Amino acid sequence: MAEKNRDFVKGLWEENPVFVMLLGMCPVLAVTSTATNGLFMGLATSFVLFGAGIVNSLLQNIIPDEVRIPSFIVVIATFVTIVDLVSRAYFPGIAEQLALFIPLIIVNCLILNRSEAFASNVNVLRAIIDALGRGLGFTWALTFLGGIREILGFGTLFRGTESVIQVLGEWYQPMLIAILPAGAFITLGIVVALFNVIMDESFSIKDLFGGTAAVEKEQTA
Amino acid sequence: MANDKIQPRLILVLTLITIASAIVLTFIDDLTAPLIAEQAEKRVQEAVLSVVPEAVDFEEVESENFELFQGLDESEEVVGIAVQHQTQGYTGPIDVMVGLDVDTRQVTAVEVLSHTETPGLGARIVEEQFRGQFEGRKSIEEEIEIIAGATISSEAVEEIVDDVIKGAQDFEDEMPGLETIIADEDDLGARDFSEQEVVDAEQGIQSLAKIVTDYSGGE
Amino acid sequence: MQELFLLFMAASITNNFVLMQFLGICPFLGVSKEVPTAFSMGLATTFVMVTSAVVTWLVETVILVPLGIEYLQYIAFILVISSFVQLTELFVKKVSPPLYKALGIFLPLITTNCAILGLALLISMEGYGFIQSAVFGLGAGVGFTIAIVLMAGIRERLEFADVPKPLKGAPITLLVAGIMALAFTGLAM
Repeated sequence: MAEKNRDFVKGLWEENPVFVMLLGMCPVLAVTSTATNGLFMGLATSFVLFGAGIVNSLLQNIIPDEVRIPSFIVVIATFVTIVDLVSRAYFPGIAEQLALFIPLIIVNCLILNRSEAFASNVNVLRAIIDALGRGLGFTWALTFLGGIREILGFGTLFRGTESVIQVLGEWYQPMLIAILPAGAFITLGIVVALFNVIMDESFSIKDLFGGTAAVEKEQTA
Repeated sequence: MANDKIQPRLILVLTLITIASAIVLTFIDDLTAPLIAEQAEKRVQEAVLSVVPEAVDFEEVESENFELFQGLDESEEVVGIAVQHQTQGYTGPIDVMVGLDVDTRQVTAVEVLSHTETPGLGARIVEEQFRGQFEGRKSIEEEIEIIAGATISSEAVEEIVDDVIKGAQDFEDEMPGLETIIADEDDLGARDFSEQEVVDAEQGIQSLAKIVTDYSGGE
Repeated sequence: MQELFLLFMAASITNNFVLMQFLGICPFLGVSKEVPTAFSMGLATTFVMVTSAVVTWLVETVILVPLGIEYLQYIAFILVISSFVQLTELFVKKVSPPLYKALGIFLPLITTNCAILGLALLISMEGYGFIQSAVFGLGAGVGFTIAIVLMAGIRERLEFADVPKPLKGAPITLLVAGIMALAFTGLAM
């Protein structure tokens, strides 16, 4: 039980796919101009992570080692196509904004990394829990980055949905750079640096989740 | 791969996985294809009704160069023209719906259907502040205010509106419902004639007519 | 001709794949520590980009569209790209061992470079023709090479700079990339 809890929590915080492991950087930078896009991209990626995790875990004894990677890629591409078709059918507006980056989930290194290094070596239950943890970790990271950039760049949160929140008033002169490509790099750079600071000095947060092996490895790296 | 001899099992497994995936996707595609088509249709429908404010219904009209729609009111009367047209923007195609008034050929509204421009720059073409500039125009000769940092995107939309206004001439032939409504004087309104040009043209016609009558009278 | 030149310039500079469209970020951040390796990576990527742009264009036009199975596009593209990368690897190994030595280790990494799949999908979305696809692929590759070599040049000098501890590694690289992106945005305006 404890092990499963750790599988889940790891992906959320200490091995966060975005802020610590820096996996799947293309969508992280490209679609986080608003919190809405970040959230949707995070959920889409989580679904693929979840589906591919289950299938690749179930198939671990059937797939010969030599064709592991191609087989995984086909499974991943299948789930990505499902996400693409479903989102175009039910959420056309947001699907259009994410455009290219939905199919590019196929080559998101996070998913191949989890299938290859984890799901194909453990039972389905652990694969599911791991996928949920990493997926949620990816989703909150993208929503968080999108939120920062959207507040700075538009003064709102969750634009393009019905529950859009006006965070900063009319007086606020939007900071254009936050939503430009340059803003993506700079925001992520600052957040990763902050994460390094937190991981380094704030022991209370680490203690909350127990286990520091990954963090120590990160520090020495 | 170590001994360079490929076992049949490898090919079999990979082929089976690919076949299974193709079957699943064919099934999902069958489910979603009608929905996707419906969404696209809904999009066009909303855009037509929004650029032709008085319309409650519309129908598509065959046209050579444009995707042409006529907006209809409750009594099936044509109340406006909507034209869907696209051009290359900065990062990809920009698809725009332009509404024209039947009588005056003034632009009633401009709606961006789809684009992939940069957020914060080119993407601002969807904002009312930019789109609103085209309302009530018969030509775009008067400068529009371009979005700072997004010249190409702004000019792309401008070009679309210009094409539509210029192309409006051809619509009459293609829209039989229109002929009766557009009175002959209004034809001038569709082009970009200044008042002076109209006066000049009318004088020209009169003097021509005079010459013709004089000539035929002389015979 | 002029149109092709503009297409090339757009893909390589004004709409740079890496800095403006966020395609190929992983190698851009990962393989940009030294200029020579970055340059080899750029060359290998450019080569695969041009060839896979052409091959995926053929697959799309000759197989997918006539059969009406565009929904299998993603699977077809990724399979074509990954098998093509392997073929390239074998081919280069046989034909030119020195070239293989220079590029070999990068080739497997390229399969999961999203710039390659992104390029194939962009070509299909924009509906480019055969020649246009090849030119667009070349432009994208040159753009990738420019970005990664510039970044490596900056990072070589950063080695000697006193970077604050929390900024070491990824954060400072991201900040530098941000400033580079700003410069490229300036070029585009």
